[in-house]
Amino acid sequence: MEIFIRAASCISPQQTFGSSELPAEIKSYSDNRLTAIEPDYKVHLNIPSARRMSRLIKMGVCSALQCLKDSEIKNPDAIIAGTGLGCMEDSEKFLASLLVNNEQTLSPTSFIFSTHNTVAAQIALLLQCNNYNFTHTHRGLSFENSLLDSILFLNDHSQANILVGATDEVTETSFKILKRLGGIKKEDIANTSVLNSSSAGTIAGEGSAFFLLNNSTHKNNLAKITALHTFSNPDDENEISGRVRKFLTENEISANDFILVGLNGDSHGDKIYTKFIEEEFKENSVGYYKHLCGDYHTSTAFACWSSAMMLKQQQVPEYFFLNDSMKPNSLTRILIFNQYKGREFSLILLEKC
Amino acid sequence: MADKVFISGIGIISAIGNTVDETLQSLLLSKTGVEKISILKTALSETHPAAEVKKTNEQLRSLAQLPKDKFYSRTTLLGMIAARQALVSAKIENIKELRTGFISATSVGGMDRTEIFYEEFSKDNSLGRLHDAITHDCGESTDAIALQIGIKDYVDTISTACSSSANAIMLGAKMIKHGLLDRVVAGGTDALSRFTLNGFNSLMILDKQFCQPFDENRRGLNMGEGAGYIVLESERNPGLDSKEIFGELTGYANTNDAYHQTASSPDAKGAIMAMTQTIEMANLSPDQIDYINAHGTGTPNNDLTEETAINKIFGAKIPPFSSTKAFTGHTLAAAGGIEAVLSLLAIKHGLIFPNLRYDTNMKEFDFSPVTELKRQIKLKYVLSNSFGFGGNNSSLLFSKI
Repeated sequence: MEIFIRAASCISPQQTFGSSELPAEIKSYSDNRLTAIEPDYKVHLNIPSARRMSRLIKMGVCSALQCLKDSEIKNPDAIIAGTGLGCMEDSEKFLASLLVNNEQTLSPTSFIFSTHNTVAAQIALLLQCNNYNFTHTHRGLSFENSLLDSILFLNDHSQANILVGATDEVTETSFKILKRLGGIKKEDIANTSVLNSSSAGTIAGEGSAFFLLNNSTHKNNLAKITALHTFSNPDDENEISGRVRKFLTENEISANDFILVGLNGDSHGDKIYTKFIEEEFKENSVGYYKHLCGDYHTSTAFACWSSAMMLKQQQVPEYFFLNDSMKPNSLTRILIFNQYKGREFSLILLEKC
Repeated sequence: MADKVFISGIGIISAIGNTVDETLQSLLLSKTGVEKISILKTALSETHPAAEVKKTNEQLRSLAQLPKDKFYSRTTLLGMIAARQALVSAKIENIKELRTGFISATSVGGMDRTEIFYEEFSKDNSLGRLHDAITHDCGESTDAIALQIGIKDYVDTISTACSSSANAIMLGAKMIKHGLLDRVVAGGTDALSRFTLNGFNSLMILDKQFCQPFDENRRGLNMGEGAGYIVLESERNPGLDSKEIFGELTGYANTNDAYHQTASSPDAKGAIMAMTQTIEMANLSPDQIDYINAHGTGTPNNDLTEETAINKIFGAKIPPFSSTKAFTGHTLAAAGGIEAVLSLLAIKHGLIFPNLRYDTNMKEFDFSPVTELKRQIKLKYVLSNSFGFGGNNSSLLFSKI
């Protein structure tokens, strides 16, 4: 398999939007909640309907349209979007109004924009694109399943251009609930030191990343995706290592490959990675990304964007490493290895063009 | 040539029955599931009828054969019941003997629990039981069901509003055709919730009376709830020849109307594309279609668009068509799964289900849906439409084998 990333655009808690390079420096956070740095929508999403859109929809649509613009492709043959939690802000707004008004005389606006398919639908509407349109919302695999859908589509339509991405938001309420559920660290921690933490929980994040994928070689291509494997709800550690090892063998992952791992500072979940880092990847250069974007269902879209940029630029900025990390000698392939709550696992392999 | 995809199992629960047999009986007796709301606690229960599954969550839990110590949303309970039925119907005992996927659609996941949580939480952020909050995400119901039935080769949740289940079935078929899976349990589940009920009410597209799809005097839709799943199998699967095959999925298409976030276009562009591409994929011409199980929600907008599309595609020879939503209500993301089951039942038993409560022709067109139950009809090709918010339009084509 070889699928090219013609263009990519990302809005994240780092200064990632509107640049053809990874940021030189990173933004720090100290309150366990990383908030996306949104572009000036008056410039980048100058449409009348934008004022009715929530942050999530604006992030999704804006990153998708920018990606399409950068790809110089007018009308995609498929629009495929992933989201773990969908439009939280609009859902809450409607729910709150329903309760306050005792289910009478409600304004429909927030309901209209609350459905999970809103981002993909709004992109189609703005592009007047009648083609294939899909939304996957399966927890920590929402982005990966969207990628798989893209692969299937390209198998069926080899000339197709696919606009695929994922978007998630963290709201005041979702953050409070995540905290109560124990998903967020009790103590405030700087994002730059979260990966060294030994307590439970992680830091919350959000963002949107879109990619234009096709089968065509092109001078502007950023990278190519060469393998994808996912699995859910493993029975035990043996199943995890069995499935991961099989992927590593099949794809001949060697010491030359750079590994980007979804470590998130949660003492419990990180154990799953540590084993692989110490055993399978002990010869590899290993980097990390969740201290940059926070943890959320579709954080691998951020990882994928970062990897594509690294492969294009042929360098990995220092901030992807811990102090004692081994640096890569060369940069041919990047393997993104992620798990979400010990439940969803994914391996995405990218290669330089 | 990609593998053919056969349907070896069906499962359904809705307001017109907790099993396939009960569903069929209601259809044969023209017995609607729409009634005064009695299970869901809502301020709209006196004014807006809906098609509820007339069982409490506790009753559903025992039907679903689920442990008592765990907490499940109504969406999960409904889905669990229909998914189990589908597996039994397909005579699948050892789920692990073949690569099996579970692709489930839902529009709002565990919103029925979120509402309860949020009511407390909004008074005081330390209140609200967390077990009512953790079922919120759409993937939760899918995962809970997949875990119970032991499916793990591929698990996915689709949410494209009211076309969700049709897309789940389509994706399942693609996974089989591409050789990634041998069989897939696909469909969808949605419980009635105050969120969706009030959402549709705020858009002023709910009917305070019993809905009348495709009628000139239609006023809107009745909400419903339920779940429907079908078992898709590759033609290569061992043991298939000893199973009852309900049909073959020979066509599908997914398009976007790209007209409005909630309304469908007057020229029916997305609907026409979805139906036409589906028929083309099956290598058929429109005049070969024997029955259309229409989306037919009962809203002025949807039904006009759908008849516009039918008129444009089929012209002089309009095939028999009906909406079964006057029976089941509009079950949102579950609709495509429920209507796939109904389409397969139509093929199996040679039936065309009536479009209940139809009275007056829409003034725009001089054709009308089937209004009386038709028996002993040879149905070879049945088209099922699912259109949703966000312009998401999908059609499926089931063929008799």
